[in-house]
Amino acid sequence: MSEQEYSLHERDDLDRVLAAWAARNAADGEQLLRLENRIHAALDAEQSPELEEAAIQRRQAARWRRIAIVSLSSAAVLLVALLASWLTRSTPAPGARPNEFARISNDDVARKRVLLAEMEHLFDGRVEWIAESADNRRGADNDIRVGLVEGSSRDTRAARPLVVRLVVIRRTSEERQWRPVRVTDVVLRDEQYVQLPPQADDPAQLSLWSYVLPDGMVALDTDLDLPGDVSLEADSSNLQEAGVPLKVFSTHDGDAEYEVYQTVRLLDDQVG
Amino acid sequence: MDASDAELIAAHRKSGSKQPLEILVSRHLPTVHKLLFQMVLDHSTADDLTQEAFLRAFRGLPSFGGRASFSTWLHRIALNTVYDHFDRCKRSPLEFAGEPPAASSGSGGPEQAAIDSELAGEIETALGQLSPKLRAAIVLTSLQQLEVAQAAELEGCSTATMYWRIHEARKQLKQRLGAYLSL
Repeated sequence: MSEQEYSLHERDDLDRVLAAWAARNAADGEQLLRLENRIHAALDAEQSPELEEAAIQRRQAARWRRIAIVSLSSAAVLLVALLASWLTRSTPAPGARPNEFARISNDDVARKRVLLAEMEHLFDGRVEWIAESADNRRGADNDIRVGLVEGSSRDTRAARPLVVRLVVIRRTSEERQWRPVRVTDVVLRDEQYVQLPPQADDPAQLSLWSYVLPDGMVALDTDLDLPGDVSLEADSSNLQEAGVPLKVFSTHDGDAEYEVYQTVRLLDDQVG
Repeated sequence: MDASDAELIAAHRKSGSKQPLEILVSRHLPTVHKLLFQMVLDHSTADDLTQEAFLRAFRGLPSFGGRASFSTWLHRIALNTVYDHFDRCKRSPLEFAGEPPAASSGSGGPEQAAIDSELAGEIETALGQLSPKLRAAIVLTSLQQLEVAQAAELEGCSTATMYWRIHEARKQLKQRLGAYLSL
């Protein structure tokens, strides 16, 4: 929906009903005073700067404990076959149209399903997301990271699993063919927020949020920050059709031209 | 004249006194509590999360650079606290667990109808069935009456995304509450 189509000034019965409900449920002065005193008491208990610093450390530690990011190396033996399938995935021939680099084939979808099922089995149902990246600039090993929920398994079965592919491609005026610079596949679930922080050997940062509409269209918020000789910062919000690559960013740097495409597919859809 | 939020934070940083923080609590408690209640639909939980949000904010004050206003920053922390709560409780969409609605006090327009206990229950059920992001979109814009850009800033998303979330949330609420609305 565009800004022109909707204005907050167009308040209607829904707003009025909600406002009346909210007014009726607002805490009264006595409730708020009790709560205020409670917060003051809690502040008293932890007010020194040292305690503040310790609390920050606890908060950060807790945040990182919740989502443990596991290196593939810890489970390499069991995942060799899956990793191989990622490494040998079909890539478009040089000269292909740019959006072809982001296309997710039925085979890819089938592989992701297997990958998700194997990871779920391996990590006892605690998998929140799986991210696979290959960066041709680094010449390093491809990277697989898995986000886990700490503790017991999480009830995410109801949320639909998806795969999002984000591809950075590049070409120069001398060599007119597009070539992939970086490919990242993220398997996640509907309405899940995924944040991939930078690592020592990979400074890229990526955050993703998806929402699947009843008609199968997918709202995707993507924020990719790719530092390097050419810094790419692709921040986009799109409603896109499953399976159809979408250009979300393009830029020039001297002689080189860069584009970023993304595609999303639902893993529980029937593949042909 | 009352000290501004920035002046209170500066005073706290300089002296380490807790009094400026207490003034900040008094000043922002009603709006933060209202936001959190409208997200979790339960006063007791909203109380706990309000306390948690203020404590998180004050612990994080050393990292508060003043780029956004303290109010914006605090409300963003409050929303993050709610999302963490949903994550912990695995209860989204949630079920209303609050006080039973009061009895109806009469009939009339939509405002009057909203105090009807049946409608209040329906509103809470409908809000509870929205996903957290959609619920936040409607709470921030319709109930907290923020501009769309402000809501987007709080949620850390683009304005376009926020427009879409508002649209979707309103559509779902109207579907569920249609019988009570004279649309």
